[in-house]
Amino acid sequence: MTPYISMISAILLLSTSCLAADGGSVDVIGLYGQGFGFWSTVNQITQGNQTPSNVLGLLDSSFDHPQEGIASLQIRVQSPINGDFREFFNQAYFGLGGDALAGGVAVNRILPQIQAYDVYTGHLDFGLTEQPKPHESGFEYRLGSTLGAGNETLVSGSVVDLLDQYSPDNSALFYTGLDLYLGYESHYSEQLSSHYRLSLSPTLFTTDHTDSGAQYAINSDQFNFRWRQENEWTVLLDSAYEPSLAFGLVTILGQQPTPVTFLPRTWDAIHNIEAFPTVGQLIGLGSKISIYGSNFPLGLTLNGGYYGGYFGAGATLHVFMVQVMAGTYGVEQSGGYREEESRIAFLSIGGRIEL
Amino acid sequence: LSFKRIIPFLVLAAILCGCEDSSKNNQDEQQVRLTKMLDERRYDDVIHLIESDPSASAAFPDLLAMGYLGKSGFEPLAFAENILAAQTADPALDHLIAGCDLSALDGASVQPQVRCVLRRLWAHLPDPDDVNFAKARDLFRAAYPTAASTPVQYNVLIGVVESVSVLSRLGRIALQYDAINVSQTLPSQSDVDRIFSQLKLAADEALRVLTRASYGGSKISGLLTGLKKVPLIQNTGITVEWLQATEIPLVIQFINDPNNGVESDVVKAALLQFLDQVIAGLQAPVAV
Repeated sequence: MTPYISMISAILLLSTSCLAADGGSVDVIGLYGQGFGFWSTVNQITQGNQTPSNVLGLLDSSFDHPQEGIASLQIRVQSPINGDFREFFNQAYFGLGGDALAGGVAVNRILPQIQAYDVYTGHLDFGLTEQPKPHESGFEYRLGSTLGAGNETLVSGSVVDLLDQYSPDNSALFYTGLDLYLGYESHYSEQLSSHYRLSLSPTLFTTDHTDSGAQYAINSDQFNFRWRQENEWTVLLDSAYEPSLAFGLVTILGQQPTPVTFLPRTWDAIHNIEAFPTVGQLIGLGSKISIYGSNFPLGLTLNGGYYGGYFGAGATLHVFMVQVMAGTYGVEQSGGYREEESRIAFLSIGGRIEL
Repeated sequence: LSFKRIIPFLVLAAILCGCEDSSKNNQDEQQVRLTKMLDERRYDDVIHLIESDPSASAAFPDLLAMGYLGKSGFEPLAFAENILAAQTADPALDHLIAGCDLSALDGASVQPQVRCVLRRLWAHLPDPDDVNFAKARDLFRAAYPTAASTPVQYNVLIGVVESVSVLSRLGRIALQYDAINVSQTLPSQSDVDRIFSQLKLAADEALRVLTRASYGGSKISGLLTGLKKVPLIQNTGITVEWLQATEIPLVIQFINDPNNGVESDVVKAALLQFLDQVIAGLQAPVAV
């Protein structure tokens, strides 16, 4: 692991040494997905003041339907860079963020078994990026890294165990990861363009949950590799009027082939995602329609399709520098195809402040 | 330009070449599938799948028993929910055990009298001789014959199944005998024979519950009734016993009495005396 840690340290040093004094921007994004109903249910159960009938009432909708909630807040500062690396990268970024995930599942109506978790982490992100100028063909790439720390709580057992006072299993959680990204944007004409994106996010997690046997336990020194490649073809309808209308087709390959990446890295660890699960789970196909204009303060994009075997749809609204995004997507919890869906509906609000 | 276009295909090829066989162990997959069927209340499918495959029958006797239990209509948590819900009036039950609060109960805090808990149970307990329930009970006994080597959660579930059997038999006998008393007739010999055989079964099941309770503790009562503060079984520190108010200790005592080992007129007289005693216990005024 020494080369891995060294690489992260090098990215940190590079990104700090290259920051320019002015001309940057700050992005703030908050996201909330579904609810934390299941976790509050489990919390109530583990406090020992529930009866079987209360447990049933709380769990009834959770049998074989994994429940998950997600919340996150990200603040990212981006700035043009100075120094020798300007030839390769045009921006450096620093980010601070926090993620919360909670969820679980109940199985077996006759002798219910409950597996549940919550994870809270804070993280520091930093790196260097290169982006082409708007409406020009060219490569874009990012060399970034992340350091995170937090806590994981697990509940695992039969309803019989939970009827008495029950102590959830807690552990500190640390992770380090890389954010590698390569993209190429092609403008074949004023109407037709394509965008290829490849991102790789290897992450090493560390907890004290060694061999706990709980379904959602992150093990000590657990390595997860998230990858994703995306091809998007966009046709801009020829029109003399604003706003413009564009149609796009998107093909995605990866463990979470949704058009919006909204799951934090801890999700990968909680579900111990495989690098190469069942092929069907890796494929996402969708379309999008966008209404926007260069002199128009509003922009709206709608998308929909089958992502990893589950229908999903979303909308993104831009109002000046503010972006509101909402969507519902199914995410596979197992290594199989359409075996354990976790459906997450989310709302995200973000904005950019130019410095 | 050509290089850019090749990149996605190169990556895709690399991914496809790297695909691993993620198939799990067959038995694990089968267990997941069967458990999912239990969640979906597809109890007939669970039973059919296991019974049609000898290896599955050997591997999942617990799931087969659960399949039969579900098919009989008994789901422990749903049953407990019914016990705590508001009860409807029932002339026969209300004659046998009068004066109980029939409104919905908060299982975490209230402490109704044991006989009122019995009244609620007897309104909902399944027939212990229902073919599916009896099959489930037999399968559990065969799969986990020794309480000491059985996981606690299974001891609790089996304890609940045995408790349902003994309490249901006792309730049916009490209701039948109370009806006979109300009609001011004497039970026929066939009634007596049947009651006696049911009591023998109940006594056996009551002792099985105590064995399971030695390892499952008060959780059996809690899971059965949904009440945290009204155990039907108590651990004295030395022994595990049914509460006297359940009338079950009387049943065990009556059946274990050597004088009652054979069916005769003497036994019949003793049985009627015993039943009078049970009914009197149940009909004792409920303290407010």
